[in-house]
Amino acid sequence: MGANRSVVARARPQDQAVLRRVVNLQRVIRFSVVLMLHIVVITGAVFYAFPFYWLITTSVKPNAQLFLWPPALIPNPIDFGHYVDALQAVPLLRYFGNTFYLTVLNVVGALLSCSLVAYAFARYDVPGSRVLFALLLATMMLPGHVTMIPLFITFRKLGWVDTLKPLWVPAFFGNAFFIFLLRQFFKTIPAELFDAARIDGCSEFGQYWRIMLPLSKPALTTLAIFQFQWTWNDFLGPLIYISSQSKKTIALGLQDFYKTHTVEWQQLMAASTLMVLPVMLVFFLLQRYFIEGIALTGLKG
Amino acid sequence: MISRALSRREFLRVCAGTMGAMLAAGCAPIPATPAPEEAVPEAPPAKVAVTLQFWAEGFSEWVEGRIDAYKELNPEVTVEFVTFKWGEMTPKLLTASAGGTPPDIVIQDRFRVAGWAGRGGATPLDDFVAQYNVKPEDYWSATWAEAVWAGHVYAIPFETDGRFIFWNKEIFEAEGLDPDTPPPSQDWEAMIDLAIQLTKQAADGSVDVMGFIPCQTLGYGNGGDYVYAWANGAKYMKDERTAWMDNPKLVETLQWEFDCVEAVGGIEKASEFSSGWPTVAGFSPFGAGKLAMMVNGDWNLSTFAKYYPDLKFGMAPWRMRGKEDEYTGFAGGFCWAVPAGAKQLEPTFEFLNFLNSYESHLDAGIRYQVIPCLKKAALSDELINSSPYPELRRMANESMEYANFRPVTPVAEEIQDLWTYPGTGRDWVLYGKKTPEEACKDMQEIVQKALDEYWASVGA
Amino acid sequence: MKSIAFKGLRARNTFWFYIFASPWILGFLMFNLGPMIASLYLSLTNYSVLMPTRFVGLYNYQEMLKDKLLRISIWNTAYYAGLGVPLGIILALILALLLNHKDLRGRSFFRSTFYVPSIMPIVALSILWIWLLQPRYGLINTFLHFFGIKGPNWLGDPVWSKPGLILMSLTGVGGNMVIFLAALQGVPVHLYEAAELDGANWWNKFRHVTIPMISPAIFFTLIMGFIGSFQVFTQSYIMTEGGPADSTLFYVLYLYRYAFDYFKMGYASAMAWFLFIIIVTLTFVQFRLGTRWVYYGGQ
Repeated sequence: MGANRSVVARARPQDQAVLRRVVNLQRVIRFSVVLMLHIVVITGAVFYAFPFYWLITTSVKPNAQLFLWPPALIPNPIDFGHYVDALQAVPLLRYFGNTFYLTVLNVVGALLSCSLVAYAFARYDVPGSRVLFALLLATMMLPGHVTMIPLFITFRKLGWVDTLKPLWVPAFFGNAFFIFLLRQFFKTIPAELFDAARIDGCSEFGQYWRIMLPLSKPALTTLAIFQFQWTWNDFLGPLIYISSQSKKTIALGLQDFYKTHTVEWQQLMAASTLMVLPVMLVFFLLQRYFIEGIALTGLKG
Repeated sequence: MISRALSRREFLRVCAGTMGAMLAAGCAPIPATPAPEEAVPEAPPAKVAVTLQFWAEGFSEWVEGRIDAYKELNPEVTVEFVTFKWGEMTPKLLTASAGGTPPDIVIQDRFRVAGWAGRGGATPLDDFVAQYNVKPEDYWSATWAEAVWAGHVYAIPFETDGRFIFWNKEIFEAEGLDPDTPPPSQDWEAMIDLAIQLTKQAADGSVDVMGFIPCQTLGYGNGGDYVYAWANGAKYMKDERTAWMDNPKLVETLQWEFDCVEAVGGIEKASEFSSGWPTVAGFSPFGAGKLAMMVNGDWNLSTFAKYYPDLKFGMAPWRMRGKEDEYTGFAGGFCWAVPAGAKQLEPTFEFLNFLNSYESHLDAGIRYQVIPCLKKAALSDELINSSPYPELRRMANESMEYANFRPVTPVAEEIQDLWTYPGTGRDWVLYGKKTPEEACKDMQEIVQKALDEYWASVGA
Repeated sequence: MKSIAFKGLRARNTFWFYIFASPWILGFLMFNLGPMIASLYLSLTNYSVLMPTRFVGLYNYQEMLKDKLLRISIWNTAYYAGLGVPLGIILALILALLLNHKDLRGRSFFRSTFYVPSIMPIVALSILWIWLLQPRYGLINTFLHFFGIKGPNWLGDPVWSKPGLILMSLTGVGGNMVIFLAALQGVPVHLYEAAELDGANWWNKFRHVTIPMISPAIFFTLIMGFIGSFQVFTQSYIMTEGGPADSTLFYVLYLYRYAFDYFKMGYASAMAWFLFIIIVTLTFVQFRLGTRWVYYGGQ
């Protein structure tokens, strides 16, 4: 498309000058577009980076600067003491451990169960599937506050109330949000792929395991990232089901910084900063699975 | 389904109780080994291992200290303590109660006790009071009043806080006012004039220094709205079954708050000034010298000492309207309570008795710079002198003698939400949506309806 | 012969559907169905959590009709969702497209940057935004000041409090952005090439290749966006307590008060089921409309 150097070289001499100008113009346009792109993205990034910047700077502000009005944007001097205080005042490391335990279980459970169920909804349009799908969505439409108590009683009857089980076992039974999400992604995979596999003797489960899953890495990565973040930041679940300081998760543990008539702001910010880092790390590490595209060349659309 | 669930819950409770008893019996008893110095002829009776669940909103250092001290005296008792942010414990407590697994003891907001107890959520403490010889007259009467409902005691008052008028002495001096004389809180018109006088505009028309804003969300005057109403002689309830939110004196109070805000520039200016200062201790425009007067709690004494040590301020009780020598006050704060369905009453009561001791009250008072509900602890020299501002601390603690308390009623939460925090009803007036008469009439409707529904549901 | 084979295929598909879906079906029966039915029943009672319950029929629903604050909360919620969801999705889509551009350097870094605000603990974000939206010194108004605009008193003004919260929600679009990024990976490259051969410019490619191919993801974010926004709660609970003057009194916040502060869980359950009906209706409409514009490559 368009002109480039090989086209110019192969053109008739009388056209070469014009073509050369076209090539240069195209280069200029492309360069400006890329420049604009970077300007816009960098500007946006400054806005979106600001909350985290604020979080970190507040956590290293010395006491005297915290309540300056208007607030200081650059802390001076930088005082990491609040991190030490936070770690000493509150068993943060244990909270991190508890949270990590729950998070890993939830991510594994969600990946397994949601992909299976989403596969069902994406691939099979059979009697009952539409009703069930409607039910699936419906479970997300009732505010959880009114089902909290009956659910608690359910767990009580199962004998799980003094354990962490209510906070991870349900993950192995699917999650409406992720099932819906994966179903949307799964439905974009052409049916012909599965038909061809089936003809080749691939079992139903094999189609799920060997075709659908490998092609859905971006979607599955998204699920993993989201579930990690959700469980990591989940507050209401741990609030209701955790009744000892030692079992608290980090989201719940942040409340320890709210004292009777005061709040330990900088320690809270320090703990919040520490809390954000693992999620950022997970995101950063898993990002490359977004880059992997799906090569579907050669398939008739 | 729920009535069946209830009996199922009771069944579960019986099962749990039986299981608990069996477990307790099955546990190896921990004999008390006599120390070498003590010539004890025989080992004391074996004690049974017990675990108590203790929930609270804050107070973690004090509780942990008390638990450690208690553990040394009673090693067989383990107290598991969990702390929450103010307001977050409620859904958890309700859910646990509904599910039949309430904690053994909690630290509660005192004004919530009537609502809880009135709906069967609390265990009566009359036996505790009798067994451990707890005398109501040892406590500030305002605090004990909130702990009683329908003739039974449901809570033991723990700590309280008052509301006082603070003024910035340097600003007063600059204005030519005597910095050591409290503002004339008995004269409502004069207060408005003073507020106008002390308000300074900035170059761009917004308020640089605010003279006075009377209310909660706008002026960090947490609970001040109650104080003004009481100063005006207003009552919120006529009797147990009848609310009186459209009391003319409440209407007057709202009118005055509105006039005050209007005088300093109107709601836009006032809320523009207050926006951005989260209404929690630490962020204080008063401390920063930007607010000339405020009605706020005595905990500010320690806040100022910590964050604004150079601040020159005064603190005094608010006066009854029109009466220079009569004061009024507010008693907020917390108590200990035992939820209904808590199973281990004996060890819980024992622990509660330990928490209720003079030493415990004093420890909390000194540690948090709050006012213990136990009079002796509150007035002790040790506590007074532990404050960065001992005279003011003494004045504050002594003011609990005549302090008022929020209406003891199962709809106390509705009243508080409307009147002061978040102050929906008050805000109707301040934001110009309703006149004080209309607002009070609507508040009366809401509160009376809730009250009627409560009494109907209790079957009376 | 053909009908027998078809019936066999149908039966086999049905069997496999239920096998694959069984984890969720079991979970639904164990953890969802009971509580949902319970709360529906409770909405017909005067359940207060603590006291014995009495059946009151449709009393709660009738009271809801008279409840003025309820109407205000519905309006507030619809406002928040109606503005916030489309804006958020458009913004997330734009960000995803920008960050997917092949010529962008440092993509991983930028992606993380845009994603981070959506994972910060809400308590920290609330403090930050109370500060950002401060009328005199807050950064938002300072920024507007550069353009000569006098910014409003966001969280202190009944008119501007909801826009302020919507603005806050726009920094949380990282999640949707991630979904769109993942979806963009699934657009077959050869479609773009074919379009270019046909002489399409970037707008045509966007409109006729990109959008249809990621329409399942857009559909998802729309549905979930509305389901979520209609249940908005935490920001107003922490930051504004429903104020000023009830302007941020959202439906679920109001519901929460009845459930836990006023001991009227029965009434709260009725409110919940009413909201349920609203959301179901809205979702149903979206699904109906969706058949017209959502394109699943697999069909």
